[in-house]
Amino acid sequence: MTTDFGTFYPPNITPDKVHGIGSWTEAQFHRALRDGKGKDGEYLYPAFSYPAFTGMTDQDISDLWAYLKTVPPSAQPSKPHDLKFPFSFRPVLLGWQILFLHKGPLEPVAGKSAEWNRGRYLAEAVAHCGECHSPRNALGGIDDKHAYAGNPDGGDGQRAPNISSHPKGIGKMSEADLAELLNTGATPEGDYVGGGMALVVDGTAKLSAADRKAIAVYIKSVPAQESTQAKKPAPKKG
Amino acid sequence: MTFGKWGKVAVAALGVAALSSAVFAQDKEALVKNRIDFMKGQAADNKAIGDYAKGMATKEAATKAINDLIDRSGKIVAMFPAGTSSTDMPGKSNAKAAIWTDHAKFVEIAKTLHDTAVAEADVIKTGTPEAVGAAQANLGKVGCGACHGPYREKLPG
Ligand code: HEC
Ligand code: HEC
Repeated sequence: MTTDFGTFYPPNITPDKVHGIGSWTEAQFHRALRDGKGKDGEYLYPAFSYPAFTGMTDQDISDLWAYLKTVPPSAQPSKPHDLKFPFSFRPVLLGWQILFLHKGPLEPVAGKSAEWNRGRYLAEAVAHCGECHSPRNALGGIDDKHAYAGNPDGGDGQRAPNISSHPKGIGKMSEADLAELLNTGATPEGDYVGGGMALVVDGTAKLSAADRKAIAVYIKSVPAQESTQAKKPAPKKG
Repeated sequence: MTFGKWGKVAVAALGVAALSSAVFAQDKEALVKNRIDFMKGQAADNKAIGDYAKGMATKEAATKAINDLIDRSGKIVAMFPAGTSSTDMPGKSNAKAAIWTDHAKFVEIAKTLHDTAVAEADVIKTGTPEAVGAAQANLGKVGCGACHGPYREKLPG
């Protein structure tokens, strides 16, 4: 993953004691996800997904922790440019696919339907749609003002398109179309998504139809935005 | 390495590539336009099969579509001569330069699409619409999405 301040490689988060997170305690893991602090209390860069995890319930984080413990340890050291803690897209996706999803501490927004709030929880705290689809600021943090307006770095050197309801985004997709895409990967035209998005669909296909619909309801409610970075080239695969 | 039909396709494409400097800009534009229409035709086939799986189209329409996909899968590689990447033709082509630096894998995915479509034709013939839906989602993933991920530009806007 490339940001304006360098390239990060997916760290080793298998239970290997030396190179992975085998020597971490569950409490350290919770703290990393909640507060963005590494094993020894050092701050982690916002380019990693921890801001998105703070909305997860304790139970979900414990489930993710339990899951990572079952992954075979890998003795491969994390690459040198790595940040201390965990997250790049793939392990995240691996992790959440198997989670039991609970209603989270992400405070429900009053005046919005239960379905919308469920969709927001799934999209923001569990599936991390914005981690790929929202543009980033110079520090690698998410540019909230242009949420979901597309990002040149959607993981693996791929562009993540605008998925706000702008005509250049997914303005033409209905909620049902989007729910279908999250189930099979098919767009209304019969095209199929690839790259990181295909992995996302592997996960969302396992959700209930009601949960996919909830995500669609929430995403379709996001204000239409034109991409701020349509001309910026995708980073080289690193 | 065996030198079957797909090897020949790859060699044919490289042959086209060698000639590409002789291809005029105008011809290249026509070629890219043509391949985009060709790709859209594949998407329409997928849609017809998906509609059948959902009970919204006839088995006949799905059979026609899968046969068309099988036929088209053998033509994909030759539609990508060198000199027609998004770097060569910005704003016109969305074909990533990786197609030509990582060509073997590109050819391999086209072959996977072919084989998957042949298997799906059987499912359409003998299986339930639900089974067709599952086969179709798989084809979309391993045959279409798998190539678009590494080889097609997607503009974030
Ligand atoms: C790992 C990064 C990543 C995550 C996480 C992610 N996406 Fe995507 N998404 C992509 C990429 C890359 C594409 C482009 C796929 C392609 O080129 O075929 C895409 C494509 C899409 C499209 C198709 C847009 C179009 O115009 O064709 C939709 C809709 C979409 N994503 C919605 C979502 C939703 C909803 C979520 C959360 C549930 C999500 N994405 C999570 C990377 C991601
Ligand atoms: C071996 C690689 C490969 C396979 C297999 C493949 N595609 Fe494509 N596809 C591409 C590339 C590369 C482009 C970009 C072409 C360009 O812009 O010149 C593309 C473009 C497209 C487009 C966009 C056309 C537009 O409007 O710009 C659609 C739709 C599409 N493909 C559908 C499909 C479907 C459906 C399948 C599966 C049945 C499929 N493709 C299989 C490589 C592939």
